[in-house]
Amino acid sequence: MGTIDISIESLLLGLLLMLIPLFFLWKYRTGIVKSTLVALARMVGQLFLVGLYLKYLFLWDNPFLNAVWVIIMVFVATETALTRTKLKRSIMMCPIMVGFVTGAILVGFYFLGVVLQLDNVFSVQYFIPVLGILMGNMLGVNVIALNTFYSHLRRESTYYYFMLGNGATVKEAISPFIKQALVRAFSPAIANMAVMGLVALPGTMIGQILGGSTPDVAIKYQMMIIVITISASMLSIAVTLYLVRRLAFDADGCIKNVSR
Amino acid sequence: MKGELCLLDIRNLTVAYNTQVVVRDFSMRLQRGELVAVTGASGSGKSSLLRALMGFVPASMGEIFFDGVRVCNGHMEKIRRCTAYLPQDLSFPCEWVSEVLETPFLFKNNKNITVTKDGWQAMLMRLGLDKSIMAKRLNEISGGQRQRMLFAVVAMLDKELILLDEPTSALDGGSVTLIVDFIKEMCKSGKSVLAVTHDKYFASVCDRVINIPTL
Repeated sequence: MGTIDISIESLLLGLLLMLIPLFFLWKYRTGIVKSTLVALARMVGQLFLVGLYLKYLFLWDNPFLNAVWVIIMVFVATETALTRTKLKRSIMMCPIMVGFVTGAILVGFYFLGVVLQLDNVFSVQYFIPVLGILMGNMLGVNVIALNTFYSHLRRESTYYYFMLGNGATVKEAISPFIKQALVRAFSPAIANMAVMGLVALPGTMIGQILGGSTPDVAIKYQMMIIVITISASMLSIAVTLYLVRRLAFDADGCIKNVSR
Repeated sequence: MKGELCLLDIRNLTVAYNTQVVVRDFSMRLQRGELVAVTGASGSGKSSLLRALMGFVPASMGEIFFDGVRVCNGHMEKIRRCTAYLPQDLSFPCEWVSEVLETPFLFKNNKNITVTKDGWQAMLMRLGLDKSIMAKRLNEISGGQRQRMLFAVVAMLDKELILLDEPTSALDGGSVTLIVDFIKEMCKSGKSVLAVTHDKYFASVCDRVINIPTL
């Protein structure tokens, strides 16, 4: 059973549905109509471009090119994280990038090599979508976690110094802030996992079913995707925060200014 | 020399935030068992002085000797291990009073300090707080209760040097007397206390008062 293609005319008919949110955003003078239109235009443009280069990646299925593509994704994700957290590139680029690479490589290859037992883990059909979904989730979690960590550390810096001044090491003094960052970043994913399949049918499962997989295969992939995205995100933020502890505090534990 | 009468010796200390000097050429000595108040107008750099002693602001010039040993930027853990510090105006990243009270005793440097439930209850009572405060949320207690709660942590840590930043700013008259009596008793047992204060009564009961001039 193949997937029905969507013609350009049908796609345009589908895009008309965006008039509903645009109407209400305009009616209530939210001031975000323009940014919504820009976002929509960007999405359409970007996805057409992605479709174009993925077409060639799938056509060539070259492990080297696939790996290069993932490296590009890591750079773009790092840049996006830096932009969305407004953190200094000179200090934060390395921790964020190393976190992404660690999460993607360890969890991605474990899934592809150990769970799926692929002969060629660089096979484009699996490598690109799996690493892509990991990067997307790691990016979201890193942005929330880093924003939470730094906003609270700035706001409650006196508590941080209270703990340092009463015998804590930097590692001990930042642990309440790490706790807050992790709770904030992972609560949505954990809540989502708890109602998976009940409140909504998740994206991977729908994609697999639309692509012709049977529901029992689709649910197993969905389970695995949830598990690997949470694991990779946790690993990536753990590595990032470990490196942040080394780079974003001075020898006496004073908080360096890492914001732009 | 280690073990001498002078616990803290500050020589010609200058503290600056980037290019803005907040304390210039400040010197003082704090003896063991002494209670010294540092006073001065708002913005005169009193709190910055305490922050510099803890290494939270690097001293741009001058020297600090703790127990006869020079303490340098980058090695401030030496002084922090022997110090308890009460800052002014804390906001908390946690929810419960018990978390604030108990967390410092989980630190590696404080593992040797034994705290019992009875010990906490006695300390809280001594400071005019009910033991039920331990089961409360931080937003359920007043500013004065918070200040005494943090003072309880500082007292329970039982360190040689105690640095207090406006320890009575949120307290009523009765609570100020409780805290002052307690601090005097700590000093009698050999603790040294350096307190930054605006409180004239508090300053009047100190062994010495040092005024920092506004720059």
